[in-house]
Amino acid sequence: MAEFYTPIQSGAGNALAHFGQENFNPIFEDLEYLIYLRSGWYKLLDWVTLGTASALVTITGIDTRWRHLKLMGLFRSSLSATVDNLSISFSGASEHYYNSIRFHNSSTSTASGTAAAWINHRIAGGTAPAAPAIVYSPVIVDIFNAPASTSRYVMVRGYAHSTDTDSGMTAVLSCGEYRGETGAISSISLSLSSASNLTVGSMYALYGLDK
Amino acid sequence: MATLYTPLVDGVPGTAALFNGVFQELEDSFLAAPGAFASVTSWATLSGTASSITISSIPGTYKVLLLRLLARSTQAATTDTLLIRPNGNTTSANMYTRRVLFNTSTTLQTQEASGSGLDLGAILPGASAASSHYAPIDIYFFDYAGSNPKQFLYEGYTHTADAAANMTRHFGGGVWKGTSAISSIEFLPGSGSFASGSAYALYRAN
Repeated sequence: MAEFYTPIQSGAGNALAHFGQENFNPIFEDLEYLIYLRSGWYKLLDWVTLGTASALVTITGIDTRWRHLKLMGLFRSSLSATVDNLSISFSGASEHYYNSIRFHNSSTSTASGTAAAWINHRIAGGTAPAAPAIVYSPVIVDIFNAPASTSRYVMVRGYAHSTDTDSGMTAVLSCGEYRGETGAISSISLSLSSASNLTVGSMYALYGLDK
Repeated sequence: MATLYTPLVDGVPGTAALFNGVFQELEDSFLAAPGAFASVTSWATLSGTASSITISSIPGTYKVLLLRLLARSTQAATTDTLLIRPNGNTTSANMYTRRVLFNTSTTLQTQEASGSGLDLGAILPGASAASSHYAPIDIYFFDYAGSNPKQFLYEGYTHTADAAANMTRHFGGGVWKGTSAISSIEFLPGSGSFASGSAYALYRAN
């Protein structure tokens, strides 16, 4: 039994029993909506792999139909250090509109949370292990209530592998808010607090969960 | 090559029944094989307060449930606890929760909890917290319809005043020892009620 579309009724069509676009298009539209609604996390942006190092990556054209957003990526900085901080911002808004904290934990030290203006998250830097393979930091960013006119809430998790030992691995949890502007999130920008570049091979994708 | 529906064939008259058959095959396919964390309930926002919320009649055909909240309590304090009751169970001896918390003023804390439900600790902003702050919270229930004790993971954060120094990140998990499938989930603040504007939805993955 049809649950998400209205079946064509018997006797529909013109005098010759020919069906027209008006019979089919509403059903195609209903089934398309069903794909969005029941697909779970819908892929908005397919995986992009940087072929050129970049100081700024911006994902634009985010539709307001998506209640929640999820950004996933593998990132590495060109900074000549073992770690750097990935800065996450929305709709081109300046530092004023964010509160965030970051926690990172390794086997040798436990840091308390660090307040930051942007939403910051620790990732591997340019001197992180590169052999036998280049290390990137996996990052998952969850953005709650993206189209809302009130605060948007962000939770981030991942790890940074700074040296080629177990003790050089750091679990990272971050969180923050984007507030002060009432427009829906229309873009997401990624940069580095050191103003270095995201390296070639860094990659990311964006998913959305329907309202 | 079509695998989810029966293609039309040249020479066969097009009738409503013929077309509807294809549409129904497609609809059935979408419903049978959704992506990860398709919605069980739509995102709902409270227009008033609620002492508790229950999501019931949860089908037992999935593997993982995700309860997502943006919530605040009416409790006259900066924070309130959040309790989760699978199948309405309130027996604290059947539930264990352990969590880690961090913020800028307190080093890493680890806590064990026991309350009349899965106790997520002081994760909800209360009435004394900065206005319009709601806690984002994700709670995952693994193999919720199986016959083993039910494992869960959660994360979230609390923001009690308008500065980064007043943010606390939460991460934890635990177990409900019940062996029945989870068919309902009740969730409630430990002391107050959910404030107006709190919102929630349930998602599932196969």
